[in-house]
Amino acid sequence: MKRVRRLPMIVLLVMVLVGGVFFDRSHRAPTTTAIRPDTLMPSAQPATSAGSTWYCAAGSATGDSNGLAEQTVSIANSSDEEITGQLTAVPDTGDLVVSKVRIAAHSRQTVRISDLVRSLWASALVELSGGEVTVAQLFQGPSGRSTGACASSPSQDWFFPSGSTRNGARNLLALFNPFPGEATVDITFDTEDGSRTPQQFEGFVLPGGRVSVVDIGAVVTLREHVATTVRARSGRVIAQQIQTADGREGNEQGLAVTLGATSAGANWFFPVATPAESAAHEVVSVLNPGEVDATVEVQVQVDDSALVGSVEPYRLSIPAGRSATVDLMSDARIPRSADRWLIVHSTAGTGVVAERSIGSVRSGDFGGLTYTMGAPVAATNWLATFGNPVGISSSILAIANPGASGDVTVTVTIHGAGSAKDLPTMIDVVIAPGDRRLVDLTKELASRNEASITISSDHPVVVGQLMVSTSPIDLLTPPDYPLVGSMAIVGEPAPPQVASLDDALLPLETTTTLDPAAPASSLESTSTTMADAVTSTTAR
Amino acid sequence: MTVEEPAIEPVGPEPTGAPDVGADLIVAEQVADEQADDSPIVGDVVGDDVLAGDVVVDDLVADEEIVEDQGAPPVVVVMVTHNPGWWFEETLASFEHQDYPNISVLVIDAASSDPIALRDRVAAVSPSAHLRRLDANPGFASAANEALHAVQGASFLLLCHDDVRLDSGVVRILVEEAFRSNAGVVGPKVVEWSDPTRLLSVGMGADRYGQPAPYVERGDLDQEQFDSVRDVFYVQGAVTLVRADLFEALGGFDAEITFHGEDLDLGWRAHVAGARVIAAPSARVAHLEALGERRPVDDRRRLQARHRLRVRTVASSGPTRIRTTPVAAFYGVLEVLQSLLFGRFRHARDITSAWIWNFSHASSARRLRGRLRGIRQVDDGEVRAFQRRGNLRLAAFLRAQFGRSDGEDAQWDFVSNLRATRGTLTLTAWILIVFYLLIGSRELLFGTIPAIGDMPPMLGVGDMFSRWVSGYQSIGLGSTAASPTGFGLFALLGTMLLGAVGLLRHVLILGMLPLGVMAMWRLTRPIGSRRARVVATVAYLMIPVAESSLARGDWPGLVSFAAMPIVLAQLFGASGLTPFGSIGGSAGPGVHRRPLTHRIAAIAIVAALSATIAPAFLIVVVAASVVLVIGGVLAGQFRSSLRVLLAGIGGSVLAFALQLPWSFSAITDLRSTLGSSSTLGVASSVSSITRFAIGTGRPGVLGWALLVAGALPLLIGREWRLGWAVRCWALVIAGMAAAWALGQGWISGPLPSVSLLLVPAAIGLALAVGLGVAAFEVDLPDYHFGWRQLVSIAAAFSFVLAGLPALGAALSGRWHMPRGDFAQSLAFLDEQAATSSFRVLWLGDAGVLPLAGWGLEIPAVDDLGTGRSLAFATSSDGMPSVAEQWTGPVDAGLRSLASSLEVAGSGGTARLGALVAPMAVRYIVVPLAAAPEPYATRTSYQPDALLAMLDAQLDLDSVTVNPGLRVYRNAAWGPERALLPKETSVPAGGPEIADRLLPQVSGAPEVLTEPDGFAGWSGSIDSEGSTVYLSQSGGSNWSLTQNGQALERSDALGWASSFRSTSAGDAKLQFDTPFTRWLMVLGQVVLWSLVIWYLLRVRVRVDESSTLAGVAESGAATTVETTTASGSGPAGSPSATETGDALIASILGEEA
Repeated sequence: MKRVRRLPMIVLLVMVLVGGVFFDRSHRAPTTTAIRPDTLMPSAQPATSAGSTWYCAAGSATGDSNGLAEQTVSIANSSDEEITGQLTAVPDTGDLVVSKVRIAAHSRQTVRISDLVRSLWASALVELSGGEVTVAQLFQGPSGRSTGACASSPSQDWFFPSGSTRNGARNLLALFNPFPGEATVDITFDTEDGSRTPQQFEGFVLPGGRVSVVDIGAVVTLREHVATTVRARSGRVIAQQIQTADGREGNEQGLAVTLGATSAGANWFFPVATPAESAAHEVVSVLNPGEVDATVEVQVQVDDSALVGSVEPYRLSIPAGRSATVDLMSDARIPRSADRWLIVHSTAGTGVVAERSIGSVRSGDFGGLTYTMGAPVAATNWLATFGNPVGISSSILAIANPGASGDVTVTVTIHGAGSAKDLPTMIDVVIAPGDRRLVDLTKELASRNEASITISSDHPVVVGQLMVSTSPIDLLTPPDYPLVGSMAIVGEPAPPQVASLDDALLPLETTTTLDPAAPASSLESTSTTMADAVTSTTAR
Repeated sequence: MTVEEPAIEPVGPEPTGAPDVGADLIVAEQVADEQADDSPIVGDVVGDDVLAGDVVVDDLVADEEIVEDQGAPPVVVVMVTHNPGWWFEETLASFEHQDYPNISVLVIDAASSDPIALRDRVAAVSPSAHLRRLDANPGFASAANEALHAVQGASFLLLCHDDVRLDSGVVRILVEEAFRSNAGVVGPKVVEWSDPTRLLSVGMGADRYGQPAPYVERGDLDQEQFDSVRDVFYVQGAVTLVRADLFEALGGFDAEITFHGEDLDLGWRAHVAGARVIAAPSARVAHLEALGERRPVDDRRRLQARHRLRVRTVASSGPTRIRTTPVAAFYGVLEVLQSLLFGRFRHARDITSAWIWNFSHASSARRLRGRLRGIRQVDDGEVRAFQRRGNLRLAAFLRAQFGRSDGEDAQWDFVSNLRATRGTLTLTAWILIVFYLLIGSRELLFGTIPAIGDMPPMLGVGDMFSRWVSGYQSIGLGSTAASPTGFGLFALLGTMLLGAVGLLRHVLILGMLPLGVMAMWRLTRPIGSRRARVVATVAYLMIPVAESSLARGDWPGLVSFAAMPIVLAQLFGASGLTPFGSIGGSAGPGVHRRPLTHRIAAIAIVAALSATIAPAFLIVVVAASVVLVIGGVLAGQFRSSLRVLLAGIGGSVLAFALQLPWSFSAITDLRSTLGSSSTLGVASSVSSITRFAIGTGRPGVLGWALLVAGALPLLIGREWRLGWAVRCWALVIAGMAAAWALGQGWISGPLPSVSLLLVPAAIGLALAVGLGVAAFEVDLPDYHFGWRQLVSIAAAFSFVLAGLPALGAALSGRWHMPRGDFAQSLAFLDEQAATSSFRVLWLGDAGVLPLAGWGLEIPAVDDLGTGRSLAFATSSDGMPSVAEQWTGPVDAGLRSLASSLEVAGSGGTARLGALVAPMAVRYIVVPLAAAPEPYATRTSYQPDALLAMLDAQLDLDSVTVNPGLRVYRNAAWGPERALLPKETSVPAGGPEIADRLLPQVSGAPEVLTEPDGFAGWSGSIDSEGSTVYLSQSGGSNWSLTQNGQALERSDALGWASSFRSTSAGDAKLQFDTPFTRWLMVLGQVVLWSLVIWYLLRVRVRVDESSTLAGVAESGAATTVETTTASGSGPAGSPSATETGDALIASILGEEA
């Protein structure tokens, strides 16, 4: 019998121990599962998907021009295959109606809900047989026009940071329960007076397969700012806000329909903002629905900071469960002559929801009201539903690179009439970190009402649209949908711009100094606010 | 209890001081005369061939014998012999040397193979003896009964074996005592042949069931401490003096009793006849007990069990039999179960065959009872005064002292044993282990074991048997794959427990703990050091593998805990390396030489039984054998590697064959057969794996202490201790590495669960700790004082520290197992199942599903966290049962179901309910932990994406039940057997979603609602021209007959069936099991029987050959033990301090 060897096993044991510890430390698995980006905002299924389902919460279906927000559903097929499916119109009273739909490849189809049912309010449920198809809403009412997103999935939580019940404004909340079982929801409002849940909205029961529209103004009367939170105790719903303003007391005038945000996030991107030289009122509303106070920065990304300088971020401290607004036009911090876009960033990673409103009294060819929920995610593929609705005088597509590092290469494709073609000026266009590219689609999409747009890039970008309608006069921010599978949560957004010393030619008048002694717009007292009184540090 | 004067009257002519002076040997052959002239001496030759058993009538010889007496009553020695061995001359000589004056010797040759040689041997020593030859060997009793015909006129018969050696005064003393005590039967003191100072028996007691109870401890030193005459129940059959008239009145021995038990029979019936049975210890007889050497098989236990039953049946009166028979049957069942549990299959077979034999010989027993009734002098109540109370066998088991309780003061034996073994490490350790297990399991022992994880509730015995033989399984959407062997095994075990399947579940779950500990105890036996055995066994119990398996409902882990030590013992034995063999040194205690095929068969049986619950066990066995070889290579010992590999691989292959046809599924779909694995997200780091922290009760930093203790033999061990330590550590490293890789999600192939991988590591570590003790005892003294001594102290300290978490684990009384399961929360499922048939679709982490499922890969929703894997499964009509314990191959139906989930998971549909409605899925349940809240928070997880997907389905309605699970009601569901409207077109199947939809099934009425056997239903179909849709896989094996006519079957949706009804009337739906299925089941039974038969047969033969070899070598007492002591072990002659070992060995069925 051979002599037994001791050393090899001892050596092996030591190696295994050392190796195990090393690998354990270097490959330690995350303890929590990652947040799925496609749960953060409505998103389109990829072409390989067996189907898509879209939930359009509510709109008027009276068939009458006096309907508050007569709803038309727009279905855009960006895929190479014909899509079939069905659209179910669910009225607030009466029986639902099912309509078959068929959308050819690279084309778009619209359905007026009032053609299917006649009721004060009606929801639409669109079930389609494939992916790369998007569904959105177009509303028309006495107050104006609006575009709104349909939801790609129901949710237990819905957040609306913006809203107003001031004099001349109506704020309605539409709740759609497409499921067979009833849902029970709590609706909480946060105003300048504080946060509250009216008794009638506590345990509000929504039967299965029903839509219900709540007039917030009847409960929360005459508040300049109303942030709304819908939380379902049981079941899931789709919630949508319908805001109208009649221009009374010098305020904006128009119709804004917004699908709520389903989740809070650390970063919200607004690739488009008020056009340069515009007198429109632009307000960013941030809701902190969590249980931890949040500190939020609103970064204004100026398109050409080398010329016009950079803007000191607005800094907000938002207690848990409360909301705050920043009126970007209330001071001269932002150079009026520069195009810009916005990033709302929660500095500690606390989840918040950001929404932006642009409103203007109709004057000349400009005016209207639009609410836009920020994009909490970036993606390499985006689908823009609308091409060029009737009466549009200007259609701007904004593509921003929200990352802190790395260029992105972007291509824009226009779909219509059964085919797709890349926009010649937007093929493999490079966008630097923190920068954006504006694409004027007005000419390209002229008289191509059936068109839709897709944006593809090698790295995630965020996309936004702004349309200026002259007939009627209004502002529209059509929804853009990221494609499932191409989405990514931006970990660290592009940092606030800081003008370098090379920007010495910057005109002095572009810098602004706020009164440091001024109260931080007293969030406690007004809830509308407010940037910390930060002195401008814009470089000279 | 000694009875001085039994109040009974002896039967027959009472011997007096002037006995009959002569004994006529009317049928005998005088050997010496025949030898002299090779012809009959006197009388007529009745036959032609003397050696063939023809007889010579020899009255003259008898007369001449009688003439020699001196007034003493004639005694005829009746010695039955068969192929006597070397001792025979000594036996004969002892008769010749008796100082009794009136004695004759009758040798009855029970068909010895060489009669002439026998005759010569008898003649050479005892020329006056008479020889009678029988044609065949009918056994001792029948052969001795020849004296009834051959002997007349004798006062006493001295019935003797042919392997006894009488002291010179034995016959005289016995006869004197017979007269003095007025006894009918008198027996001597029986001592060992080779060492007359060691006692074998001084009379025997028995209980009312015929269980013997010797009055003296076998092997006790004879210091004349038992040398007082006393009444006994019977005397050992080696030498028995019986009054001739009594023997004749009783009709001799019971002829049906061949060997073992005739002495009990004689004594019991003598008592019934009113005769005293006396032990006269002054008469000393040495007994070789060489019967086993002449018997072709060692059927001692079988015959004992059989004949004890026989004696009780014959000697008891009717009322007594009515009382005792059910009780005896009950004890028999218990004993069979205990034997099966401990792997003593031969013992179980013996008990079972004893009852069968007695049933088949009931008529002869009846005749004997009739004869006994005629001479009965006392009733059973008086006989019982001589019997021991209670059930000695049960009491002995409970007191852990088989064969030790004798004498009237048996109730003190336990105490005296305790005294004798006070301080014995072994006994103390085992008492503590049992106490620890009882304390730790107390709530589960006396409560309910929750149906979590892989521990679903059992079905009825009949149901399980039906499922086993049927060609249809209800898993998934129905399957025609071979049914699992487990159904048959559980049905068999349930039958043995008289249908108490709940008890069976308790035994099969909780029994794994003690079974594993005992298996570890046996595994460590060859080490030879009691301390090492105790430490290794305790270490195995301290490692929280079994505990965590229980806590997680991981039945495969528990089974592996119990079975893997047995398998490793066989692998170690197959290596033949010392101390598990004799290669490189001497074999340790308890080591048996077995052929390799026997090792393979043993591994196969254990592995096949384990694979019934843990199919992946077979893979682990192969892996363990490979790792052992690698360990040997690391240790520089290549020898026997091939044998180990052959044993491991061969055993697994044979086990695989034993599981046929079920295991055939593994060939086609291994992943599904093994099931999805989950670590519940806890065993993902080196830190947790190296502490075996895979359960809810984590051992903390002290969990590493055992690793320190286990390293000791690597540092101080030498020779085989070091070699095996290296192999053990190879097991530890390999097991932990595999478990870690699995926890990291690096290995996506079909793999065993993490607990299965960790069990070999646990055994390796525990054994290494034990080897450390052995090295401490043997190797350390050879070293000079230095770091090795300090390391030893540190190891000992670590071992103690490692025990602290284990102590804490026992506090809960249920090993951290949840206190409830989903049954209560989901009770409404079972209630609804009473009115309609439907399926429940279970989704979630494979580790928390209360049934076996199939893996599901849907990138959008299957990220459940590290170590978790998404799985789906279905249960029929409510909560899952053992019917859903095993998965099967993924067939078309399952593919369709999985595809539906994938479509929904990827966002392709919001109407999952409609997709699964044709599958009769009424509810979808997503467990968020292994048990509902608040019982299992540690195993909980949050499958947000999965829930979001389900929440988004328009036809699923969320039902609030318990925070620990999510339940969705399918608004579009249809029953399993739905009656569809006329003209319904059922798609035959296809790749598109539309090909899987059957909208008409939603809300359709259920038909054929009356169960008609397993996989059969009947009822009326009142709607002419309608379609019966059956949501079961099985294809053409389903048949629907209506009004006696078979309806045409069509494929539906690619996996289901539909039948077009042509008229109204009664209908019957049935699954037709193919004949081949019956053949396969029969083949499986035959295969199992063959392997078990081979296993037992070889074991018996090898053991017997070893035994006989031992006898031949020593020329002394027979012994079962064929082992030699280990170089370091304490084996050797018995000592007081080893009593504990003996007790434990007796409990565990070890051959001491």
